[in-house]
Amino acid sequence: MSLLKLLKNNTRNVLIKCNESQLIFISSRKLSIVPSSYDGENPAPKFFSSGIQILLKRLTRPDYAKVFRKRSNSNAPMLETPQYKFLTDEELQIEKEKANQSADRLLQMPPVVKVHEPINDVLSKDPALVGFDSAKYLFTDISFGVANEHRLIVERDPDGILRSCDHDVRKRLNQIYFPMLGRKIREPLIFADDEKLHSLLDRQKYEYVLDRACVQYEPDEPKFQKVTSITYQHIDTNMQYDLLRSTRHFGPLAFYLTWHKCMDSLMFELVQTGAIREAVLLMSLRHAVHGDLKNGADSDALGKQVLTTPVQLSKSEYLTEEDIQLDNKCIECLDAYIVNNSTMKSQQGLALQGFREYYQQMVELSRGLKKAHGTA
Amino acid sequence: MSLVTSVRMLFKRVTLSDIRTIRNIRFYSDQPSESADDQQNSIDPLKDRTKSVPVETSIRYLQSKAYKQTYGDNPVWFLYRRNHRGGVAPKHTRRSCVRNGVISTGNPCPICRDEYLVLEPRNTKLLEQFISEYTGHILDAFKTGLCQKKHKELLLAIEKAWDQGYLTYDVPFREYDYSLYNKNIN
Repeated sequence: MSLLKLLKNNTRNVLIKCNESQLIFISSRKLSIVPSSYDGENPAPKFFSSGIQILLKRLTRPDYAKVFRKRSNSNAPMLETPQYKFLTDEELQIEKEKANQSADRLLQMPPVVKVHEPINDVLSKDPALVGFDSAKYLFTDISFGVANEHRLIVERDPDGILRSCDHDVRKRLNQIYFPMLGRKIREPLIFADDEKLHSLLDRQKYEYVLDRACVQYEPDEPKFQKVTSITYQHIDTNMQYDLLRSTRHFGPLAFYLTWHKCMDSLMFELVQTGAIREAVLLMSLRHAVHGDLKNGADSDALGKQVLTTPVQLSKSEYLTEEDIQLDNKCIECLDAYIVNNSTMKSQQGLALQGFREYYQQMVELSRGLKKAHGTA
Repeated sequence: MSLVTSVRMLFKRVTLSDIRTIRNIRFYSDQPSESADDQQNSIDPLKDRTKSVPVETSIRYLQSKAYKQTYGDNPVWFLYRRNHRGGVAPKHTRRSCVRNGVISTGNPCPICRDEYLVLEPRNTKLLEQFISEYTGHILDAFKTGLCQKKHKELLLAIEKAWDQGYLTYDVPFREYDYSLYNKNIN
């Protein structure tokens, strides 16, 4: 790429000193996203705990129209025509249950775990074998019925040491003998090249990048955590959370933001779009992960109450008295959070004020309607 | 006597040949010879495929009025029809339309006939025309009419585009076994 093009794409500050020596200072805006991985505390026990799993599933707000959209990854030679059936009420209930189960399968969250430790155990040292060959020998146990993770893969180095292979060699050999659909042996250029990854993210193909990362890498690989962290930060800076809602990746995104204590952007977006019940759920998630909210216990109790109400995909026109009470409690809880723990106080405060006014109008409208219909 | 006549004939032959060689003698020069020029002029410019068009030109061509007038909204292979005897076409299309840098067949395939259609990973608008919008499969050469060489180039370009992120596809679903990562279950 020419220097001019490099300047155009990456420059934030350009300083050209017209002295004896010309100095051009180029700072790339892409460097503001720093990849991170879970290499400190293990997030798995918290991630897999049932309370947090329920909260994350509720935050993804599954819209079945998006979850069950047509995908062209089946490799079937012909398309299937849709089936129309006449069902009784009980049969309809059974079909709805089946739909819920297949939605749960499609929305299964990729695990959030700590980075794996390198494998370094020597099985035997045979210096008598030195000079036998100049190449390493890799031995793989391809017996049927053994899971890829527990497969025995060892290597004999030219200096006679027999050791277990490290994770990258294991993954490569497992892919050669037992290939997984969609996984490449050679690393795809979208992950190897930073530019290509960022061009995909700038075109907002977040779900595509995350899906490919899930297929290409294991969840405990450092490269997977690096790619996903870059993607989550890009989504956070551009506030494009809606693109990942109703997909399997929203849970890990929310968990990542909460773990690193930068969920305020998400909170702001929730309040702005009027999803204050989900904002309360986000608060209880933060309390469950870190436990450092002042009104943590309140938010927990309120969150449990919210979980009993059904999922709100769109704003309801008709509000019952219980709805109004619950929403007022949510607003108070959020107020306390904004005052105490938020990092975007002014913006969130303004958004909450806007929501309060809008909600007041909605309450008056629904109360007026009830009076007019005579059901008050 | 015969010796004299033979010597005289020899002398004549040498002098004549000298004149001839003087006329036709070519010293070493940097100018290209005329006979090679004759060969080049005989190539039909419409069939000349020695010069490759850059990708950027091809991308601009796909947005141009000329392209719109030629192909409209259809894919480039839509109106192409192979010439064969009988009702059913042979299973394989021809090996290649271009031989020695020149189109040497009648009815060349949809890509070879238009020199501004370049099969490259960056030329996504052209590559998408050969991928089925319903199944995501790459269309067969039997359907599109491409010669085998261009069909292989197309497969290569699409695979590179998928690898480099110019084109996207629906990624196969990966199911996780939580028991491997969640020690609470075990």
